[in-house]
Amino acid sequence: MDTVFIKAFKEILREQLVEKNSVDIDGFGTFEVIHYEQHQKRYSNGKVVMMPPKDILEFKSNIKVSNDN
Amino acid sequence: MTIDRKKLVDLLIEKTDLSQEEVEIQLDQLIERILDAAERGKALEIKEFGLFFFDQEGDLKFEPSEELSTEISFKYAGMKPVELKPERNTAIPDDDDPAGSISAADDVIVVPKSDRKSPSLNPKKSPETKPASASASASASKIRQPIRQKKDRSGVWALLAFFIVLIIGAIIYFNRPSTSVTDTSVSVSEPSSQESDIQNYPEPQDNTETEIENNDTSTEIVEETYISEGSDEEQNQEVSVPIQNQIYGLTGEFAESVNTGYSIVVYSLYNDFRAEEVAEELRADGYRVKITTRVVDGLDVYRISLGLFESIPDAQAAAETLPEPFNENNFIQRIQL
Repeated sequence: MDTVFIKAFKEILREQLVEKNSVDIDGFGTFEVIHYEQHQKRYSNGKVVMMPPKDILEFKSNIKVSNDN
Repeated sequence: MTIDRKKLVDLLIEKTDLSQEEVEIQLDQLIERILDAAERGKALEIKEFGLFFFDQEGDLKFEPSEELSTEISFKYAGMKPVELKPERNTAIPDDDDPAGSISAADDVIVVPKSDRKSPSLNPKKSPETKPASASASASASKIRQPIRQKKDRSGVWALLAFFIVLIIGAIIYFNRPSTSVTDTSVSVSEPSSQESDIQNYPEPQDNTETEIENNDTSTEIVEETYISEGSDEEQNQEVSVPIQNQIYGLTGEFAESVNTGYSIVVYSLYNDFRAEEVAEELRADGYRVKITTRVVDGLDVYRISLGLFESIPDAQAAAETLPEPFNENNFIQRIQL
């Protein structure tokens, strides 16, 4: 496979995802950036912390393989 | 915005100078290779991008590389959880519950719901006669205490804030008596002198001259009026200064003396000049603006934050009042100089 193509593929996806655009590749899946707001979290020791917000890249695909093998 | 396959192919053509057919073939090959590797139970990694694999349920998954994750969540990089409340372990439970302090603190978490129904349990009464219930009551008291403790703490803070306000009020009040005294002395000649205001300052001199002829005591009063006017203005300024320079709030200026609190971050920039420019624009809009520097992956990141708040809820409430896009795209950080 062409390394130039792979490099371009990575760069384009990165650029689009950093701009919070989702990339939908038909027949493969969708790359999407999900924003999580800051929220409070309580640990079992009673400590309560404010978790910082974050953006997470998620990939959703309909492709599934059976585990019969 | 969504980039579909067609747009992606266009962008790839633009970037690689390959023909559309070539790009389509390469893209299909890449997908095939990913699926082939994944189906064989292997993960295919695209360096500095991520890892494709099938999970245990047979779903195709993607795990972004650290570089990509950091880049995507760049704005929040380096942020750590902020502790809101202190640990539960304090001296108060020991004072209330000397016998029960033997029980392991970690076990407490398991017990609570069943024992909460018997609030009248008192560990002090029979800790030795009923060991099982004693440990239960000890744990129950240990569970309840932190809740009380939290409330107590908030009450203490509220009281502290109240006393501080009282002290400030007292200081302002005790600075005022001189004005009220002068006001009473002024009240005789106030109508004429106050109506004339500052523009008519020369006139009173004439009045004093004329009044000197009439009565010496009245001149003293008139002089006092001008002295008191001056002092009144000064005192008004003294009173108004703390109001203008309130430490906390969305607008105003950052007080250098304050080195703790919370602020709403609306920008994270690499370029310090750009950060200064943006900060100036926000300052021009009347916001209390601060630039803080963080080092993320060896690079300086300049965070521009608005306002200074005593607590996170205050900051959150203020963040909601910000104009778009700041009201939705922000986070709160603790200021520590």
